[in-house]
Amino acid sequence: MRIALLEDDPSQSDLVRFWLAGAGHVCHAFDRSREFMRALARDSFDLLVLDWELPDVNGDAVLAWVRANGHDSVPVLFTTARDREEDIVAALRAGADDYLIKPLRRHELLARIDALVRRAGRAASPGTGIKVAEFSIDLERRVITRNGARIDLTQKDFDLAAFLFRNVGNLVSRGHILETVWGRSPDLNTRTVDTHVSRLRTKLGLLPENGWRLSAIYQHGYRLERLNAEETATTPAADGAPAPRAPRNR
Amino acid sequence: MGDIPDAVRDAVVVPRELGELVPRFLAHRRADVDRLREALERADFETVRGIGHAMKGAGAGYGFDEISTIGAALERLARAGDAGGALAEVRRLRDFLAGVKVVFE
Repeated sequence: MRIALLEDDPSQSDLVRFWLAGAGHVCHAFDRSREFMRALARDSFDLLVLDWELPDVNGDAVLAWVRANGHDSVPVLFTTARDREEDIVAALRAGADDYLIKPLRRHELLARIDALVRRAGRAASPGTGIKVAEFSIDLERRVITRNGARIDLTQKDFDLAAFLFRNVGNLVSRGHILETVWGRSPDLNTRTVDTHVSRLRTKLGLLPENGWRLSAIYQHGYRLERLNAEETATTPAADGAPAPRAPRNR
Repeated sequence: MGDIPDAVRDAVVVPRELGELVPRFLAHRRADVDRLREALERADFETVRGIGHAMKGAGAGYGFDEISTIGAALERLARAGDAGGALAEVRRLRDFLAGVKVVFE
């Protein structure tokens, strides 16, 4: 999982990053809210972990910004040493999905993260498959079918397809895709993502006439969308052409 | 060291995997002692509260429950503007850090 952590206390940040890394997550840590918001404006994550008391902008205001700026589907876990009932209620009402009172406990933190991501449908659990419209993805056998017909994909293309189908409707950054599918490697660049996305669009027929749109979003990444009947009928392009509300970068 | 209570000298058992993080954590807390003293000298209770709040949040996560307890007391005393009480907690923190024995298991 790709997780963004907003925490200004270095000891707390060290500990959470250590626990998350130990559980196989990739954690991007920020100690200032403005830096966090700048990152979120250009990048995407599977989950956000927010502290409340921060030096520049408090966590509740950051949360409001997150929800008002197109990140309404990303799960948010609030972690704070504030333990009054009214604080917990305020954070949940402001849009947090869960709330943990510090001091944090490792196993509880990890279990809550897993639960949040699972509920948001972003978890990669091998025991279960993904079924979206005519596509079925068996994560255990690594098989993807469309209307029951198997489609042969390379390993990376399969991982990319699984990631995109877990994020239908969500804007995912190239960095997010790269880290999730290829891992953190300095040898790779985002053109790798573009090449594989283009190939996947063709192989899976993710085209408007089939009821799908896989759009490149300028300076951000990609969004896979299921089109409704009206959009399918009125979208003439057959090559993954731009959606009116989603400008492409090339 | 003669005035350190026995309970303070008790060993703190910390998971072995935190071995690399604990020295940094304790170094931060030693720096907190100086920051707290300076803040109290200028009656800056907001800084004292903030440091106490952070200590309360982080201490027990590393296995140092005593530090979380001191942090919570500092936060409460700073809110009340109790400089004398806060200074006593700073001394308690200093003594704890001087006497603590960390055992990795």
